[in-house]
Amino acid sequence: MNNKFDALKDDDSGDHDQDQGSPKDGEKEKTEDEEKEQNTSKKKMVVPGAGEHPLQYNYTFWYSRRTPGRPASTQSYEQNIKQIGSFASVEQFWRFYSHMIRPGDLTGHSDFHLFKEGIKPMWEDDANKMGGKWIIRLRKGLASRCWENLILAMLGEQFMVGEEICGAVVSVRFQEDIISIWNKTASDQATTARIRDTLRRVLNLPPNTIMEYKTHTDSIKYSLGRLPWAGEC
Amino acid sequence: MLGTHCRLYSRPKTHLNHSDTRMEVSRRRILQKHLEPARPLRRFIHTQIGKQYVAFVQCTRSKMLRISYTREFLIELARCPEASKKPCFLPDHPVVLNKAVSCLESFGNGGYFHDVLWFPLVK
Repeated sequence: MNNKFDALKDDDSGDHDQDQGSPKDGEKEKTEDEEKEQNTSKKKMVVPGAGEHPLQYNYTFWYSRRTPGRPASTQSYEQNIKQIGSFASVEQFWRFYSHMIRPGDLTGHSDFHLFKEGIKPMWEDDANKMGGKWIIRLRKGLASRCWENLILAMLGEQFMVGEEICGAVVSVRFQEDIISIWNKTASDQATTARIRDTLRRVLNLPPNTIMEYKTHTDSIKYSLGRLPWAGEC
Repeated sequence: MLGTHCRLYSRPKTHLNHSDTRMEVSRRRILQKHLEPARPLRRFIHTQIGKQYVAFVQCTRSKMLRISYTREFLIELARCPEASKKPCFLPDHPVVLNKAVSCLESFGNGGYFHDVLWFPLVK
């Protein structure tokens, strides 16, 4: 993968609907303001307020949505994803969370991402490129609750896999919703198994729930020969 | 009191002599001394402000002490007034609300572990 935009293709499995356009176009379209905004956000480091309950890591909320009526080929995934804000303590998290609409109330083709600060919700990010994700498909009506339980488990360090967790995504789609949790090392089976077991516990999943693990390498490969609106992963 | 300490440590074998009531009394005194209530950590946290507190957090993180919270504890903190204050730097965006929604509005008692009324999509 020579350019990060090469792989930014569509994937309905809980994360990307990324760019089908030319890499150069994508880079050209990036405005100065956006670059400035991203640079500024890198420099600012949020810290817990006095007396607040610190989290193990700082996290950033992101939101992305495929613009209705516009084919995905004209968009860059990276351009389409917006930072909502970062937080460092439990109290700060609730402030953001209480001022954001719930995933179940989202319309269209939308995603909420919650990633550790400094990790972009993209396959190509250094922290993600060797990783993968557990995917759980949900029938409509469950996304808000599952998303909340998933992110509370992540923020509360319930997965017990050291530095492995990168972030979580909830994807609102036409007939179903998808939640996923990303980790750094797809080849580490002990870690992925522990994440799977923790997911079952914190989401209270029935034993026969289908859980799929997908490496980001596979996501990239699979997306290359596919149209962005082609549906299932 | 100092004399008691010295006697204890200078004659360790007498610890095993249960018939020696003198030593029993001495031991009780020592234990009482040690059982003085510890100063709560929380007091330390609340008295620190600004940079000192941040330094404390960074120190905690760097010591590889994993900061973990249960779901119930996190939800308890959602009830505090601080949780509903609007963050200073929120973008103007359709998914951002002007007024806080109750964090627990959708989920009531939060007892999802006992809630069997929902199931994920099973293929």
